Amino acid sequence: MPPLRDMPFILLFIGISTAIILLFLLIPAVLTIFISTTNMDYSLKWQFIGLRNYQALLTDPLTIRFLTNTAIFTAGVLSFNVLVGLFLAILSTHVSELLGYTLRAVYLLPRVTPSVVLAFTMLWIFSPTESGVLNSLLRYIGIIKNPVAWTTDFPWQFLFLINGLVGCSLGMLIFTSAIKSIPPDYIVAARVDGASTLRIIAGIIVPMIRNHIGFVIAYQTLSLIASFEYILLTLDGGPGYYTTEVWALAAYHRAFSQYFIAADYGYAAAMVVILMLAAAILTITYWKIFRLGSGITEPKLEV
Amino acid sequence: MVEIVLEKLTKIFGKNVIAVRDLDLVIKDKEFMVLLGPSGCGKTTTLYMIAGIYKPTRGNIYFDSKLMNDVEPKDRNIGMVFQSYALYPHMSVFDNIAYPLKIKKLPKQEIVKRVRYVAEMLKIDHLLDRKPSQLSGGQQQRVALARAIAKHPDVFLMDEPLSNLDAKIRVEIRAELKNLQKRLGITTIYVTHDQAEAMSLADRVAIMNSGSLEQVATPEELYSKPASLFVASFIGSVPANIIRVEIDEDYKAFLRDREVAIPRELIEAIRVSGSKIPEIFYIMVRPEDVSLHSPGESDLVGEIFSIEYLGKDLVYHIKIHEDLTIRAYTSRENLLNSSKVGVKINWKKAKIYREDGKLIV
Amino acid sequence: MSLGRILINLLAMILILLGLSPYALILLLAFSEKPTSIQGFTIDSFAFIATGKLLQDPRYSHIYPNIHAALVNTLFLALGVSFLVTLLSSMTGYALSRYPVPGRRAILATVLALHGIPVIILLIGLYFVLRFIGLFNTLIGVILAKVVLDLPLGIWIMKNFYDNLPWDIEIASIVDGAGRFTTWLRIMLPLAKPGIAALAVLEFISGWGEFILVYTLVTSNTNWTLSMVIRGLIGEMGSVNLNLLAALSIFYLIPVLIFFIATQKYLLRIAFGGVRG
Repeated sequence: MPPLRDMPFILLFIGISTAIILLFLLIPAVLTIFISTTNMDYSLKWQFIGLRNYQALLTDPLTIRFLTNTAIFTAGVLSFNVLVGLFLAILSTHVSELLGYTLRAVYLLPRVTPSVVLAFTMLWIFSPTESGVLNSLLRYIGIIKNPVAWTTDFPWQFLFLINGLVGCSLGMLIFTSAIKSIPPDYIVAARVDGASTLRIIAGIIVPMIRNHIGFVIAYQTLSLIASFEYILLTLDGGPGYYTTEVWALAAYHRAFSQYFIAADYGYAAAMVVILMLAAAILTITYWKIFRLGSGITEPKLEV
Repeated sequence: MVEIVLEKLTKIFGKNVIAVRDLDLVIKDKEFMVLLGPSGCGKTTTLYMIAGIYKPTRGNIYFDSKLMNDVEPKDRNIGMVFQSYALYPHMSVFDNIAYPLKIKKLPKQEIVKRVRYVAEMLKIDHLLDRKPSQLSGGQQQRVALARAIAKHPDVFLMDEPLSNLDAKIRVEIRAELKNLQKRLGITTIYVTHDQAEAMSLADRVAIMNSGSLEQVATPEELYSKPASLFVASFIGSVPANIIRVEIDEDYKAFLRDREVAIPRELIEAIRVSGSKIPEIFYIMVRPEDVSLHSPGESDLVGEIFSIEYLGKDLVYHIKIHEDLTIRAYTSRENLLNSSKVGVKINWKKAKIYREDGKLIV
Repeated sequence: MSLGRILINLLAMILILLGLSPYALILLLAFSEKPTSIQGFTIDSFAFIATGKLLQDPRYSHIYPNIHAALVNTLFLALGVSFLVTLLSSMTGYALSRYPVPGRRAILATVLALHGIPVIILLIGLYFVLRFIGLFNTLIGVILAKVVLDLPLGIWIMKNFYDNLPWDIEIASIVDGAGRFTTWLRIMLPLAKPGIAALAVLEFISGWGEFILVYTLVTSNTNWTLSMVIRGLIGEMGSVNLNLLAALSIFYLIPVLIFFIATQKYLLRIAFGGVRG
């Protein structure tokens, strides 16, 4: 127990952060769990209904659709993230320093770009109308005659692209750092043995960074199963009836839909709780696998 | 100016790492006490406990009979000097020295006065506007000293402050430090692993090994009357000779089956001490107390293994047999031509030890 | 240079151009004379910067909030998030790095586990909590929500930063008589400036572009940020001048681009300090 004289210090330095996290993180989370056991709707009148929301979830035919969509979305974006991230990392470490640096900076841009701007830009480029950039360009070159309905005919690919552009930067940075810290001796030895660059990449570089690859996969899976912002901004779950509606988006719509009176907080909360459970299970698994707890050092001062 | 008393001081880290074990030590007022020992012997841990940075697991610390265990470092009025100088890199030299005074809320004029005075004393008054990164190692160390002195502390605690300096500067500052301490009369505890430094600076030296105190004495006493084999081999720029002998029931000494003549008085002392016989003993004799003669004149005969030239004097390494090389420190060179040499021990200066403790004067 | 070398350097350059193309296209569209394609050059679409009115036609100009107001709101949000996260992280990070807090390991593990909590998990709860304490439909409520989402990572980043500062200087300060707070303020904080600067920039960018929290927790358009205005326009993408959208987008992007280019090295270093920690 720290001495009394240090209490003001602890209150200020740790207390405030703790208070904010308690108030705006812990309490909302607990509240959500509670609401999931009620039938609260737009009128904010509620009754305790136990696990009925969850039962409804199990029997709702749309539930499977949402789960499948989430799986497709996660798998697709993850593949994009990891493959493109890896590609960019390998490419940027094999060209000149300046070029590599610029390349990584450019592909970091989507991450820092405001989501609405990126959404608008991609919607315009891939617009199904003939004024869309891609359509105009392809028509100008002569490849196509009529405009292609990119976002309506290829909704998943579109979503993979836009989310991937934002997400690949994490892998790109982590892999770049990992590649740069591979002892050059390995590469030199392989070259001396006559291995081609492709051989070196496949046989030495990728295996040596597999822990990092694993980490990126784990980390991004966790965030992707709950990701929905770009889907909301671009296709809003469409085209049509829930084609690309993922679990998180479905929950969001259920609570904050356009039509205020359709709000069903109880059901939405139940969906969120399921998501929380999935996230918790994944987090605990990753914690054990990556042994994230090690490496926490003790302070030197005991006063 | 305080007297510091350490009473059964113990520090255990975690569950079972015993860094300091039942340390009893008195540091007299105005004394320059050196804590000497190899890495990991607990000297820095002890220093940090005196500073209040570590809390003792057991035992007490007294400043002038006042119990200090729960007193914060900032209330102990100590000046501390670190091996890495620990100067605040973003502040000027002046601000570095003034920092503790500003904390104490001394009036501005007083601060300026003290800083200038101390800076002059340490000959860094022309550097007051510089930043630490612009100074040499020696200069930085002086600033660190100045910062410690300016607060007019009751105690100086120094943790290997000269270890990062070049050998020549180290020797210069060593002399200045000793002189400074005498002038200021502030109780000083100095930690080092360098026995030469300890011997030249200390009023008394406390030698530690694996968390325990081996011996505390003046440098002379430490050199001539080491209380244990550890102290004997640790002290002395040229390592002492440690000779293993077996003494049998008839009080005859054998060095690896060859009999060695040991003076009667020593044998008597061994018998009187009550040690059991037969037993293994260690004879400690310093290289300067070993003389070289022609092979016939003594029963310890060996080959000259190598010769060290130390400027004025030489150290001969004489190999008696595989396990025993005796070092002889002398200024005579006349044995170059013969390779076989006889070694004579000045028994008056020799000490005899059991596996651990000392036996005879 | 071998053929292979030339090819991959070329590939890199092509990819760079490809990656920059969306931004270039939007830039061109913003200055274009035609509403849905790139032709000519005019700055008419940027009229809102001067007038604050998004739609110049007086018949429609009142539908959208004043752009100047939206800009101020966005700035308020970004600065608020940046200030709070940076301040709290530099304090909590210090305490967790340097002070023997009881339960330290558990707290650090929690902080690590909490970072990257998906927004959706908290949105419903936040909606009700903010209503309850009267901060619904306010930017302050949004700031607090955003801060709570970004705080764990910020704390982790600063803690690691402090971990790498030398111990001797801290001990020296304590021995010199300074308490923990003074040591933090006078000694450790100045030494942590690079980390703090990087975090502040990162959080500013994060708050500047925030959308979903504003969309969900703010209703009256007097409290709209620029992201909401653009979202509104996207909703009417069929009927609205795309140049306007593009111009607004460019306007919205500028601060981010400036910060980004100016602090490139910092961001990369700190992004690592955090993730690798």
